[in-house]
Amino acid sequence: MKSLILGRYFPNDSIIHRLDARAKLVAALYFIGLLFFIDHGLGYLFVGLFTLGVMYLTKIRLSVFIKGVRPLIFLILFAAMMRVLFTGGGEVFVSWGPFTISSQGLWVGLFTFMRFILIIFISTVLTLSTKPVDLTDAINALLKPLRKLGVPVDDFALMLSISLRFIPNLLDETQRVMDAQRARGVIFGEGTIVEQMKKLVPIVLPLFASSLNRAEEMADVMDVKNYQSGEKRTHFRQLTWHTSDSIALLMMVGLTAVVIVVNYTMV
Amino acid sequence: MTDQPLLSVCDISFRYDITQDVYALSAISFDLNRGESLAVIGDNGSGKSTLARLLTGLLSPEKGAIYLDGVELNEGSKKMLRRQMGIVFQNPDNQFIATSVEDDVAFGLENLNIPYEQMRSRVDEALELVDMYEYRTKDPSQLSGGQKQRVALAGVLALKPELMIFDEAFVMLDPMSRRSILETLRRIQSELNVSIISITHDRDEIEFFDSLLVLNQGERVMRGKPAEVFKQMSSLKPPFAEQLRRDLVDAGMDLPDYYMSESELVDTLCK
Repeated sequence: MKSLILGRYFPNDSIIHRLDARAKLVAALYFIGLLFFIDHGLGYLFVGLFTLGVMYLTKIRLSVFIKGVRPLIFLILFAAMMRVLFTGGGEVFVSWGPFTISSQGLWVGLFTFMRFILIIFISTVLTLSTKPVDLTDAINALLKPLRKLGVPVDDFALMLSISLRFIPNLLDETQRVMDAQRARGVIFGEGTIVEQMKKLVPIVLPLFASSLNRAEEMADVMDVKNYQSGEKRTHFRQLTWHTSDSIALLMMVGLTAVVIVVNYTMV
Repeated sequence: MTDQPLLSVCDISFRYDITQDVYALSAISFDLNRGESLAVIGDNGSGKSTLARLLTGLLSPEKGAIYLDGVELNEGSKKMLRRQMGIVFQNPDNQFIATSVEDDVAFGLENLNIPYEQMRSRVDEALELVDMYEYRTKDPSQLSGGQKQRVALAGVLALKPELMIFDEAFVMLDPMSRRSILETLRRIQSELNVSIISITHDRDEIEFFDSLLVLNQGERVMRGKPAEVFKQMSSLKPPFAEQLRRDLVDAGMDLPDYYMSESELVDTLCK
């Protein structure tokens, strides 16, 4: 579990951390979309440098980001290889049945590789520098227009934040149940896969049971505190938009301009 | 008293399984005045927790009725009456809904659609009352059980209720923090004229309360001031001070033969 960097929050005090969650979320999604429109090496070089700059600004070590890429590296290499082998055009170096390695193919492969890496880097920047709750609030704020269509956006946001809040409790509980099983002589991580899977049953069942109990008790508390789905309620957590957030979005506009210019002039 | 009691429980009965003749509570009645505190005591299975759930409208009685401020508690009035009461349950983890201390205290206020500025001041005020103000931005995993329970208490205080109910809320606390939280409660009770019901099996909590209601197997055994209850019911396990007094009398010491709170006993012994 510890090796999973994507989706974890790294408390720090940096310009990127202080940005409004809405600005960060919009900018990150926009940036990922933008990546698919770049079709020139210079464009990739430019957004690549931009990404590195943003990563530097988070004041988080580069090794943390690299760790985020590691579990996915084979998938990325595989995707890039496919692009290399199945794209023709330009100078052909090797040709073997349906497979060709051409200059065009090598470029496309490199772009695919860059695109994946940059997507992972930028989404890692987002999750490392934003508290999960703030992200939930941002999603809530951005989905607000859907409320007019009758989508229960607030309930959804509350559900999300409650699930996030209970992750540490669930981990604790898993540990406790496993310890209880160990005390009764169960040895985890031994035997065939089927045997190991069977050992999971007495862990999962008590976890389910206690989660249901917990949910019921929480529902009681929410009920007594007059929570009513669909009712208008105020928000104690306030997101505040600063000038730096507008600047962040303006930078996205600037990036778009650069990408367009590069795409049209460097053919 | 001409003033009507804040809470009046009239002859309520409840059973969980209507196919069986086993009542969790049968024909319970009692009144509670404004600013009065009541401890409900009884052993496991005496129906204490059922009573708490009935009072908050989480369950509805099979027979009888509950009146808060003269209004009967039912499906229709439940929502309005719940604005006047707050409850703290036993397990601190399961009542922590938000991801940080101040957000959790604000949860009930958010539901009442209270504007931000007012929420801010009420949350801060409530956190100050329970001495948790400096922890306001912490998340629940950084708090001890006692601290979480204080946050739950603040969540109820922020709602400025007229009736606070505690369902074994202090069981998980160590004796020191339990004492300090009970002292805080007593201060709040007299300052804000709030009524308090605490459901407990901890005898040492008793001396913080104005009166006692003793339940046994769903039936009301007695209601009265601690002194009266322990005088009449010698079978009931008394709080530590009273036990000590009884033991001292048995050992031949010359002490008055009536119930004493801890401070009274200390005063008498020091004479």
